[in-house]
Amino acid sequence: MAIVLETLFKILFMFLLIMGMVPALIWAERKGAAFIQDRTGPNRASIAGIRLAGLVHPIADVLKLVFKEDVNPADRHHALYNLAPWLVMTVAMSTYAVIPFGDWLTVGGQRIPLVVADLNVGLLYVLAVASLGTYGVVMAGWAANNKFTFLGGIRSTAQMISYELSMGLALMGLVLVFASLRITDIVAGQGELLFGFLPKWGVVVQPVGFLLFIVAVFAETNRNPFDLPEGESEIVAGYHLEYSSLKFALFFMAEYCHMVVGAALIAAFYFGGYQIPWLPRPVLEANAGLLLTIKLAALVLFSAFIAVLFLRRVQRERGKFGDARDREPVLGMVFWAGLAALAAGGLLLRPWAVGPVGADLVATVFQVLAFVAKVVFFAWLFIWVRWTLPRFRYDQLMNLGWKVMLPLGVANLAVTAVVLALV
Amino acid sequence: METFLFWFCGAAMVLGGLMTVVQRSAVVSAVWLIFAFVAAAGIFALLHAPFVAILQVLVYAGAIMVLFLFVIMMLQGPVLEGERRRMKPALWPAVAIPPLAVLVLVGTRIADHGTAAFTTPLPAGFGSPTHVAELLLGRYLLAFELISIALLVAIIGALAIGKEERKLPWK
Amino acid sequence: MSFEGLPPGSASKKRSFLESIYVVEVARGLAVTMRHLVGNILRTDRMPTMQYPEEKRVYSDRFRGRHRLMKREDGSPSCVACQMCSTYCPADCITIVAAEHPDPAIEKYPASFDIDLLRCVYCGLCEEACPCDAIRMDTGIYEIAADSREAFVVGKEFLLNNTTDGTR
Repeated sequence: MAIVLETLFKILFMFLLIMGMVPALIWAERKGAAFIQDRTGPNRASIAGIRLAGLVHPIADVLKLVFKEDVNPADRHHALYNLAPWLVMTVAMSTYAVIPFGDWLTVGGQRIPLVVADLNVGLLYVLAVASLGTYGVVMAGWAANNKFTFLGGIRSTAQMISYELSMGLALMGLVLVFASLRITDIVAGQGELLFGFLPKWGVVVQPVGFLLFIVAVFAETNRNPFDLPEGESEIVAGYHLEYSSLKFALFFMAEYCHMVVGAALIAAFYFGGYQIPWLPRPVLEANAGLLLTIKLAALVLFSAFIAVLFLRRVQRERGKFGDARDREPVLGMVFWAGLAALAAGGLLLRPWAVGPVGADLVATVFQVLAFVAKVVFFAWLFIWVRWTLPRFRYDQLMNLGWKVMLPLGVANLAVTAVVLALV
Repeated sequence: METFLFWFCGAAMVLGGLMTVVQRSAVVSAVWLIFAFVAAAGIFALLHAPFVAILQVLVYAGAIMVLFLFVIMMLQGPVLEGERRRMKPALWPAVAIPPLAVLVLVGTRIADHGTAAFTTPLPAGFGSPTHVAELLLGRYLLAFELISIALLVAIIGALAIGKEERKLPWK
Repeated sequence: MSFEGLPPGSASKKRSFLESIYVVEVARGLAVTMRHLVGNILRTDRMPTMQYPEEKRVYSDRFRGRHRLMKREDGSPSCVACQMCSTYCPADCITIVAAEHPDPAIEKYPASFDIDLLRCVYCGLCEEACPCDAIRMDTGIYEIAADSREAFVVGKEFLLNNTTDGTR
């Protein structure tokens, strides 16, 4: 019974992490895109006149999509048309089952591993689920009975077949190095040091594999340089053209879920997952008090600094707009000052003197935070790349997949095997 | 729990297989076949062979069926109803041959060895990637390599046939 | 591979090895976008975007906005219904119905003077054609919106009460 309960809690944590990141990523995408292109981006949706730099927009989007009419093409294939969005979403979410987000959490003297399902073939599970991901897209494209959606589905299959191979080959190099298909083993192996000073991260031992993997992940998530299945300029919106209302919302959310999955995979396979470089678990636990103190102090200083920046804005922009927006800098100042006060309050609790139980908890929290930070960075990388690179042409896509990435993957695997046999 | 899952996966698999044969639209058939493959993977997982279960999804449900769908969709295009054609009544018994063959195989196995073969405990590490790799690259190495050569020959043959310049009606 | 639509020379440009492996060039591109992002976050107020309904662009005095009809000192329209503007109008958007003026010194006056703002191309030729400076486009109004096509056909009374300062 206990194991069912803890698994449910772990699933809940992962679910909340993803579902919390999706609106944040949508905001980051729109605002980041705007700032990269020298625009201000969305800032109109407001609650009682407070706009919060567009943070209200995701709520407005959701409300709009929920209350919109669900328009369907008349000649659709009913069952597959309705199944497709759910399939896309389910597949996007199920990869998380095997990604560890921390070492362990000690509850009542028992160590609970922080991964939902510790499969001994976890890495293959990732590949298997990724390969199922294309079905939702294909079904959507075919069942809507529209030439544009159909072309989007066809493109998606062709792209999937081409890049799945390179993804698998890139990961096989990693499997050779860490000698396991279990993702927890791979992440644990990345906590070691190479030559005594370099963290043995996947990106250090497998740089070519990392490049291949990140390109393949971009292709699998259908994100920008590889978003041919929805190429607006050629096939309108591709596979989800005929969807509206909540069904479209599912496709939209699935795209961001895929991004978070991709980011989590890159972090887990090539950037040490929850490992903090040079701070393995025993060191973390031994110095938990010191680290917590430093962390809280840094938080105090940082929040205070941001609060001061907001204070300056409050003084400079007094009565600039003449409506509720004048109160926004005040809100920001109060928020950051409150955070600083909270952290300072934490310092008063003498964090440098935590006991062994507390040290364990602190170490776990630090590792989970490290994992989340890495995921956030790589999720941002997806957005950043989208607003930097143009889309590939179809022949370029196929050339890159078959003539560059596949041979490189095979070569990388062979070189890795030879080097490992010699060492 | 395991018994329930077994019957669940088994029923799903049989349903998937039946629907694959019964459906008129080739694309829908393919989708049911994927469903059957995933159910089969569930049965493999229940038989303590997670590696084979994952490979079942990765290779059959993932890679091969994507190719199948790709080809079917390229040839068939967006939603089209297949022709309504009835099977000749004389051929109906043919449908029963594959399930009967399986029943006979399992039946002779039980008659020879009794049910003991199904209930003996499994050796440690059974079905793990290491176990499969040892069998594949040890005991069955020759067969494994011969099959890969056969597949290579098939690929080259397909390329050779596909590459041939054909007379097209509009040329 | 060659494409016919490309300007001469662009397809034949030889890429260096570093350019052809993409990685370095992608990193350079990412640096460019990051520079814009950070620069814009640090100096939000210097962004060229204008927050339109709150802030409005200041146009030159010569900007041709919505038309107005000038008045004589007694408040009647200066227009003498000579049909010059409607004849000259390239968009054919001015409709004038003339009537005899009670004052014998003035020949005619416009019984109705309609402008279809949806047809108007804001070229200003009516201003130039007018012999008695009765029509001007100096109101500076450019926010011309309505809920129906009929509402865009504005009549004499409306045009007479258009003012230069932008208020109605």
